[in-house]
Amino acid sequence: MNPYQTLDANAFWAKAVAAKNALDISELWNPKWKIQPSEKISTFGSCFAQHIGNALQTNNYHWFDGEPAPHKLTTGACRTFNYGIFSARTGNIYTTSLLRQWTEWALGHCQPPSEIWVREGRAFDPFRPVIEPNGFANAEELNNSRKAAIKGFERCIKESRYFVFTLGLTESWFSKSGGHEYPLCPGTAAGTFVDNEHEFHNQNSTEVRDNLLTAMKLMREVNPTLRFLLTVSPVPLTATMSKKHVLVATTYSKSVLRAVAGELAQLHDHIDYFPSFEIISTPPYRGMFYEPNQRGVVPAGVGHVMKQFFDCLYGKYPDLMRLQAGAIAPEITTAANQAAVCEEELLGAFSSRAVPS
Amino acid sequence: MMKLCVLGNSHVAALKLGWDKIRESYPQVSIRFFAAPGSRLQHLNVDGSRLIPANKMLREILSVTSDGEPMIETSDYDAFLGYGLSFDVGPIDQHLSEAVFDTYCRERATRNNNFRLARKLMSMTKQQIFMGHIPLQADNGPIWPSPYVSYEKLFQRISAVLSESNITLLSQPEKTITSSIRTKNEYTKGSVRLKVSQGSFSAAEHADDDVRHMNGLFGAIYLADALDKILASVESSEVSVAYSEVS
Repeated sequence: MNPYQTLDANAFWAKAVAAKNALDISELWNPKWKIQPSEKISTFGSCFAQHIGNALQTNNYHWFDGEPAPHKLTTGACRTFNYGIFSARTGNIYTTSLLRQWTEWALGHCQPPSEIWVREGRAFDPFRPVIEPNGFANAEELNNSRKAAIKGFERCIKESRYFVFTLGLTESWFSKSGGHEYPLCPGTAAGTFVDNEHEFHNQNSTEVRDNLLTAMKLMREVNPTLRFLLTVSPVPLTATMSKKHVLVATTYSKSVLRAVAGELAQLHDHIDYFPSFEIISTPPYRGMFYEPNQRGVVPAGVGHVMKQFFDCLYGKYPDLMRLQAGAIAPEITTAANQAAVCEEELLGAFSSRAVPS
Repeated sequence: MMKLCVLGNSHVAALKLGWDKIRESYPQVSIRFFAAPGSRLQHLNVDGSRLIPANKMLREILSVTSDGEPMIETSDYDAFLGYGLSFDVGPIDQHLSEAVFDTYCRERATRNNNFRLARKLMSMTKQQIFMGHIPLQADNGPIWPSPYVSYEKLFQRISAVLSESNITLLSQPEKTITSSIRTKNEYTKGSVRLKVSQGSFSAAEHADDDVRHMNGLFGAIYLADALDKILASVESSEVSVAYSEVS
């Protein structure tokens, strides 16, 4: 007699994976909490987080918008100006250090720097370089907008029950003089790259973990009931500064992020991990959910991920009402069909031998 | 005699009552009202120089409000006033960039039935087209929803967009507005809505908590203000045309 003999079928590769059609692999997630449709859920992070927010709304869950668009602004205009992409207009938050930075600004632990990028008479926010397609009219307008985003982020921290964060990257860019981090390398979307000032850093697992724990700690100081659902983006790097092959660099990044997410979920009751990364990127799925460029995720993949989310949630908590009014099957949704706003993809334009995506 | 065609939704009731109060002061003006509750006027189809109701109910309603005309023959009128543009800003509780605000105003100005109706008119007539927005909420209603977007700024921007299509936006008369950018309560007491039944157009009283629909006194002030602007504009246009013909 040994302990393996009492394990569920899901614990065995042969039964849970090899014997199944990929789309039948199930029960990948054992939710820690009974997430109610009425509870506010904020979503931030890497590009993939947008799909989670869309699916929550489609399934009549309370996706929280801390910085709503002006009343009756059309869907197209909202998208152009990045309303409703994440729970506030922060733009992509790719790293845990950026999450910490936004948290510190929102909760007043420090002020954002006064740095502004100017291009052709327009002002661009270094921390949200593509939040408006043509930047802002001037510094004052930019600062007012950034304040609104910070305020929105603060609202999300204080009012949400769940904070969904999709970890995206370990590679990051910092200001040497100011110490602050940029979501994109200066000079790509906007700004000017300055060799001695802008510094690349590929974060290790300790840094990723410590920044994430610090951000969460700060948030829970003002909202002790806040719970975190972590996911890891399955989208490979567009480009790497690590001097490694981009495939190798991607594996490093995703491994670090996945390890940290898993470790923290294991150690803390208020942190859970949802395996969207596994569903999209691991061998059993044979890459079927990737676009031909082997990078973007097709709508069917997003749909399958979110179907697993709700199947697992309702499977464990069957009394959760599946609100069908207006809800449509998460496999293919209008929202999922929209291309995610992915600022990091800009880097692809700088390849000297760029391959159309 | 300037013949004005007023088209709009339930808010036209106040204008109609207002006209009854002031018509004697404007012997040079005749007004015909074509009004239907809600968005029913979107069901007017263009037929040459006429706007024809697409369904029987609309035809009946228009016959009643216009005192007998089931359709609108645009060549009968010297000017048109579309009344019913929504000016709801909604809860904007943060600064908007100029780019967002511009887009917002452009959408508010053009993505509505009033603008579509005005475009239909423009396809049929060269007469001037004016547009009026529905009254600001009453003083006892929610405040102008945003400290970040003023009435003046919203009006100017939407007006500019409409003027690109040669539509003139008319503002609500200042004397009806409080310092908090709401309509004074006295104009909502006894406010009325458009009621069409059994072949007659009447003004039925609104519920006490209606903060949108105004009374005949408001209608009189609004219409007097509007007519002064419309008359001046139409006369100015006629002078320009006459001058260009002479020269």
